[in-house]
Amino acid sequence: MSTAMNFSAKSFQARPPDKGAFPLDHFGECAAFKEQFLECLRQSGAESSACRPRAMAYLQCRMERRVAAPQLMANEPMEKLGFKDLIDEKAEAKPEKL
Amino acid sequence: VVPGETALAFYKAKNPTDQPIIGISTYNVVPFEAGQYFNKIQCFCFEEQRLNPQEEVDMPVFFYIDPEFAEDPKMAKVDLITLSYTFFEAKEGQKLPLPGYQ
Repeated sequence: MSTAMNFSAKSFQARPPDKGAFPLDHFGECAAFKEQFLECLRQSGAESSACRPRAMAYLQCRMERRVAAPQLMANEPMEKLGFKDLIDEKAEAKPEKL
Repeated sequence: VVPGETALAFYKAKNPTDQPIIGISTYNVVPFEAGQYFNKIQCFCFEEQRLNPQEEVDMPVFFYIDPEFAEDPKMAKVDLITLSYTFFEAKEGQKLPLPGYQ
């Protein structure tokens, strides 16, 4: 933690998140996806970029949950959450499958 | 984490008591100057969250580092940014203090 006696420094401005708060996943509905994501991080040595498909899967799980509780995450197209390149890959892969 | 790329991180919280607790959290970023580049898309902070007795929950944070971080010469030596959360018990009419100098 910084201990500089810097009288002209602004204090840290906490900012609210762009899309608000995540409701808590009390029932662990997306726990499996979370575990897969964390496993990927462990294996890749905490390389965030390598685990983006699993991060996307976790967020999609949150968006799909409506059963026991209100949605765990409001629907948002994945492109808007920074996963556009992964979507494009999927779209490209499909026509190749015969 | 690559600046400009969205990333996911998880924290875990446990209520070790036999009473439900309503908590509210706030966050801090060090080094201080990196904080301006830290953008949260969605997280569990600032809103009251209820934890039942003995309940343990995963708390995700979905964020990205502003790509301008890579252009800022003051950030050239920064290769570790630490995000920390502090949970307070929510009380009626409580105002959250902003982290930093008090």
